Amino acid sequence: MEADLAIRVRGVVRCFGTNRALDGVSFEVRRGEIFGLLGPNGAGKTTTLRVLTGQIAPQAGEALVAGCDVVRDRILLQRRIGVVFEEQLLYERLSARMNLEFACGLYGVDPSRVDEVLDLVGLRDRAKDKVSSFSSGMRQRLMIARALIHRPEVLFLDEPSRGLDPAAAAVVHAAVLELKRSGTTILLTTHYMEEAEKLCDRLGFIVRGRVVAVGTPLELRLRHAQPRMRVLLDEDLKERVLDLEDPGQVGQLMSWIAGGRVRSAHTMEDSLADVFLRVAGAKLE
Amino acid sequence: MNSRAILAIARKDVLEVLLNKQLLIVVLMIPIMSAFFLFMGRIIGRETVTNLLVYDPDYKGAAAGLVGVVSQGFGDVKVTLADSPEEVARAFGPDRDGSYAVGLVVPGGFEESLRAGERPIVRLYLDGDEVGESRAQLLQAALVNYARGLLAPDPVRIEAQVVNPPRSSPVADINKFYLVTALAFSFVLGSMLAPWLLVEEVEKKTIKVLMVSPASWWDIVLAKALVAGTYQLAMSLLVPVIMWQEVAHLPWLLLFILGGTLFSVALGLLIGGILRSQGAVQAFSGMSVFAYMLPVFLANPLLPTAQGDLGRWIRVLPTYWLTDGIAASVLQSPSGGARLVVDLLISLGFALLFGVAAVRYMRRQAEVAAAL
Repeated sequence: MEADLAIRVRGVVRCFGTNRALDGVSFEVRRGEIFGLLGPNGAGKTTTLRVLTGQIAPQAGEALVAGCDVVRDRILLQRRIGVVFEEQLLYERLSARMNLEFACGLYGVDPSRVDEVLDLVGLRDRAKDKVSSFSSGMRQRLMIARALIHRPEVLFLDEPSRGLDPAAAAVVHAAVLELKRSGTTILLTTHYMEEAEKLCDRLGFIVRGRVVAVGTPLELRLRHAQPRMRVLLDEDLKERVLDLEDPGQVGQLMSWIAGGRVRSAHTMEDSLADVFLRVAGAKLE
Repeated sequence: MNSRAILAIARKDVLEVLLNKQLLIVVLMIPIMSAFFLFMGRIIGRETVTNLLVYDPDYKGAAAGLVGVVSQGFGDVKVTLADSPEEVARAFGPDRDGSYAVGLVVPGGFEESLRAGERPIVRLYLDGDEVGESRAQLLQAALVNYARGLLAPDPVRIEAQVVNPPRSSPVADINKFYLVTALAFSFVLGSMLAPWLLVEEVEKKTIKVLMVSPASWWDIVLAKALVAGTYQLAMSLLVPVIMWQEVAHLPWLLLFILGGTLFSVALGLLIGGILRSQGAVQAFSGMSVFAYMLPVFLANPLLPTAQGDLGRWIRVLPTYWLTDGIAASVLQSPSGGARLVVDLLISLGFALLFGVAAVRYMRRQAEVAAAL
């Protein structure tokens, strides 16, 4: 695997019964970037993440994460990755500190690391409180803290802001961006377009078990967006949307401009959701 | 095997048990039950001292004469000699302080005057709170019989032969029975705790956190077994510590406690491999109480039921052999070392059988955990 790659996935297949959950998934994630797997429910995001974290083995293809083959080097892989699950999987009866000390024990990390990660996610003052008293946002931050306890090379976040209110999601996003600044490679799955645009350096669109497009949000827009213009004419003050790839419609626009009939004209940018809809042929929600 | 991960999971589980009130009550039930049994044994077995106030100018000791007759009517007596009949009367008068249960005034030269054909008056004072009516009547009859016996020999000689003689100390047997009961009950803990700890992780899906850690599935299972076994062993050992006076053969008992712990945890792991929900584990725990306690009541050599048909049929229960071995090691005179060896070997054999089956079912449970 190339030195600048943190993850390389080639033709991974995974079936559950007759359902082909992953149908030849391929993509790469560079070191230090945030890569988002974007797709509707059931597209294969979580299954991809489970393969990459060694929870299930692929039936075909190859996946390398942090230099480890996800099947052959599973134990070494677990030491190099951190996982934040979609569900809030914490030991409710224990305090935040106890949860993190347990993680320290599992990974053989000095317990002094607990305060560092608590500071990172802003939970130091609630360290002694039982997790059962935490809000969803606090639990999510605690799960991130736990995933970071052993300083993983690659962090996997499965739907990191699902079920969170906007304020809690913003705190989680800030923590993710802080991690990126520290050089951690992050792969996150989401079906929230805004989250993907805000956090991710690059995105992969996954639909029906296949990654159908990969690129930065801007690249994806440029590559797949449809250039359009919104035009308001003086004569009826009605808006018209013109497709700028259609020579006929472009000619029409030019004639309106030459005739001095145009009150205003604005280019229209496709949202990422529009791009996704066009590329994947499916809606995200 | 990752010993660091095993210890970390075990430490976390110990904390979880201590912070889970429901589980903690079950864990603490065993020492509480043992202490309660010990207390009950002491209460039931308490030999109350009966205080006698006696005026007898010819007193020859607590076992002789009329005083001896009265003393035999009570288990343990303390005789206090009065200086005068009035002192005895005062002790049972309106200003009595309740110190004495029985007062006896025997006139001087009682036996001589009896033989001389006189009818000497013996005064008997009784505190109704301590001496029941029937016992009072028996006491009076015994005193009269004693007097008659002085005048004429008994008209008949009785030679009695007793089969099934009462045990020398029924109180000691009650305590031994309690000890066996508490120990048998303590084994429920391992069978309940091992599946509980594992199934809770699966049901709450926290097992996923462990599955992406350096701990393998078998590290996780081993950690659960370690915690269940440690709690189980500690609680089982508390029973003979609390009731140490009742243990006749400590080394054998310790062997059975160790074997019982293996048996109980292996059974727990088997159940943990089969069941998928905490509700099912709770239901099993309820049933396991029966499995462990039935032999205590139906096949305990300390009880007569052990000799019946039920006592023989109950041997199909794997828990029977454990209970039988414990009871035999608690008894003063066990029926032989061979029986203890057989009990121990069969118990360990079942533990091994459960362990092998548990490994098979645990593989299936691992697949369930991976598919979460």
